[in-house]
Amino acid sequence: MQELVSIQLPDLRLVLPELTVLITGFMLFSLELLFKRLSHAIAISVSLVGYLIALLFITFMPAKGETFFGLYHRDGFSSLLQFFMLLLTMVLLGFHLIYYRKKRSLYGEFYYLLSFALLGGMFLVSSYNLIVLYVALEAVSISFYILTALLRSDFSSKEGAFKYLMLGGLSIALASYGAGFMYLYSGSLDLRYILTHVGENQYFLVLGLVLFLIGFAIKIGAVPFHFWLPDAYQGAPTPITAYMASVGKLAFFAPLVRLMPYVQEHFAYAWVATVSIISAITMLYGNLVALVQKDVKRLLAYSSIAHSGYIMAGIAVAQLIGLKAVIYFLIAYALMGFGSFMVLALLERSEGWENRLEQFSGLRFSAPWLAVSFMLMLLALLGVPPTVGFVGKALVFMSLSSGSLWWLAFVMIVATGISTGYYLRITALMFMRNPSTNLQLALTGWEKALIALLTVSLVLLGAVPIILWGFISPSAENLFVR
Amino acid sequence: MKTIPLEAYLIVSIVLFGLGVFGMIVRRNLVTVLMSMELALNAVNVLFVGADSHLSLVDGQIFALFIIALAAAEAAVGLGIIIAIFRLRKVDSTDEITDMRG
Repeated sequence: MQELVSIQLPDLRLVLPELTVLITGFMLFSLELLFKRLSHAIAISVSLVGYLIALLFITFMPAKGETFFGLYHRDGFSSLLQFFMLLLTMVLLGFHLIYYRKKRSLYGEFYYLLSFALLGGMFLVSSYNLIVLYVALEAVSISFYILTALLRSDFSSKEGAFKYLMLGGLSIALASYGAGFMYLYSGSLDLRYILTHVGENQYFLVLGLVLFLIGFAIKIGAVPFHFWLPDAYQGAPTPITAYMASVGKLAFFAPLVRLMPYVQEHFAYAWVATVSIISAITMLYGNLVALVQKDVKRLLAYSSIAHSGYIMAGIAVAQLIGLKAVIYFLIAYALMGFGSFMVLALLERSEGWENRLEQFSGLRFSAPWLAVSFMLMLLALLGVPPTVGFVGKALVFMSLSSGSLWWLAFVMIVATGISTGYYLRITALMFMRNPSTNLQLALTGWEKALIALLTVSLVLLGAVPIILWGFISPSAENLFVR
Repeated sequence: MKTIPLEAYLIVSIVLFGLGVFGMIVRRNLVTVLMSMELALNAVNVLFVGADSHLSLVDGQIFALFIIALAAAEAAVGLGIIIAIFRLRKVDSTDEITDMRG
């Protein structure tokens, strides 16, 4: 009888970063409730302190293992991704967001929704359990729906939010329906057990896996299911777009990366065929449609779709080298996408700026250093050495060649060639034309420093990729060992 | 005691899910689209409960409870967004919220 009542307390040391973010979120929530007019300075400092503590826990307490009876799994991969998520959230808060308060669109809920989205993302990258994945997915998605709709009196923000909600809801329904079939097949909710389990009615497993993957394909914006992404990215307040393109991408790709080593055992052929075809369509479509865009924010949204395609090309190669390339490219895209959308967010402060393509002409004269950073970010997105974009593409290319997927490597080169058209067009407009609009940018020293930091990190991590590689390589190997 | 066979659960669940997805694609009214989404999530609940009665386990019912709670949260947010849309412009059809194109 003694054993029945004794409760085994889970090891809470492993979830200390998540607990810190959760407490930060609840503190922001209750502060917002207590003080009707919460000072933004207080909200920003509370969040920054909380995230900093969580970051220190991840950096200096690299404990690994499982807790909550196998529901939560912390390894090198989850710590690495969580580190970058926290870092990017802190950088986002470092930008002077007061401008959005002037437009009556930044409220107290912005801060706690940001921390709940972050919390969901942190759980999404560190679990194999379907219930935890489902709850984390809903946490990220619901926070993103509200954050997208936060721009008051702006109809396209609401439109983007509703489209995101519709497709997001469909994706969650599909993913959980798939989870249901996988549960029916194996009687377990642990992905590792499901995929190594050999039982009767194998078609339940295949059906479940297909539905689950379609659900995640909608979330990452793979092409037959991408309709929401450009609208949601264009409608959302630009800092939120930057957040969705960086932290959102990291979070939504993580379960696919975790799934890959298990799927390749039994379904290697089907996996390679489907994922590589979707990836080829995604990168070609994203780049081709981006070519004809007049709105730079929408153009970058399509470039984000194309980058989902490149990352999926790495996932298609069901090998260790593919996994390493994917993790590198994910982190690289998080930095590049965040930086480029943040530059747009800064430019939007100028009166009358609408992100139209022709407004970029002559940016070199009106905001020289911003133009140079934006150029470097665009070149990184294009994949020019020595930037992170180049290393990421080179790694994906190497893994494609080791998996003998030559046709996909060829498609990737063609897609990159197409993308030259629009990235270089913006660069040429910025540097070779005369200015057309008057810019009044009021940037604080912090913001200049943060943009410079992002730009330098793009070049530095590309020129000396070994800095990241030292963390990526062991964590990828760890995912393959069981 | 006679138990309900797994096939019955599966058929109900697939019909419900199909109706939900069909409604999301075909219907034009914003609230109806949201209701169709909830219908699809309820189909998932039926599947989990059916799997539980087939396997005589309880994990699936726990999952179904989570789905009920979070689907309600999602519906609340969705209704909030629909009200925000209706306040800005008096529209209630998906055909009329197409400002962004290209």
